[in-house]
Amino acid sequence: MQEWEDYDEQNDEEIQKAEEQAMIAKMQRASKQKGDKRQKIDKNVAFAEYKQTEEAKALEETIIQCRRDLTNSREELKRKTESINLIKAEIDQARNFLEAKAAKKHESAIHAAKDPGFSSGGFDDSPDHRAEMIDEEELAMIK
Amino acid sequence: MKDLKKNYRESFTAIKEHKSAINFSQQAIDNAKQQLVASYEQWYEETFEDPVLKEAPKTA
Repeated sequence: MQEWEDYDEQNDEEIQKAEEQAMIAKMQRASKQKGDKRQKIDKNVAFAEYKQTEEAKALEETIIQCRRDLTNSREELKRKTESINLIKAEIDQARNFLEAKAAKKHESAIHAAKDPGFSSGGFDDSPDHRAEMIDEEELAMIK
Repeated sequence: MKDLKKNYRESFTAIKEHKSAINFSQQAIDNAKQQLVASYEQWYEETFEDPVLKEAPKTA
């Protein structure tokens, strides 16, 4: 048969007492807190007061730091945008040059096609036999 | 031309990164502001009494 431990009723009373004391202390704290409350004041005035607390100071510091980061990032973005626009302008300039060259070559090819034949040296100077020439300036641009 | 295109691609990537950084900073500012307002409202409620909860004046 199982043996049961003696039930200590005094222990139970002690727990109950402790719980009661804790509850009373909690009520006293709540009552004290309620008593500490002040008359409502203007919210702007209250905000100025709140800003003096440690929590508000920490949050404000975070905001200031983020604003600093934002300003720096915006300045850097502005610099990079100016730089990329310059690069784009250079690319456009090079592209225009190459397109103009290509157009000139095409025009020459059409002109030569209208007047096919052999050169005075007896070489075939027809457009099909003419090698495409790229001058140094064009090569530098392509590179 | 190749170098220019390479520079352009690099700058483009850098710009994208800066835009992300800007969005991140802006979001962080908004969050901190919201937190500040919420924290202030809580502090205000805890510090000042609510007139609604005050006892109504006794009538004769």
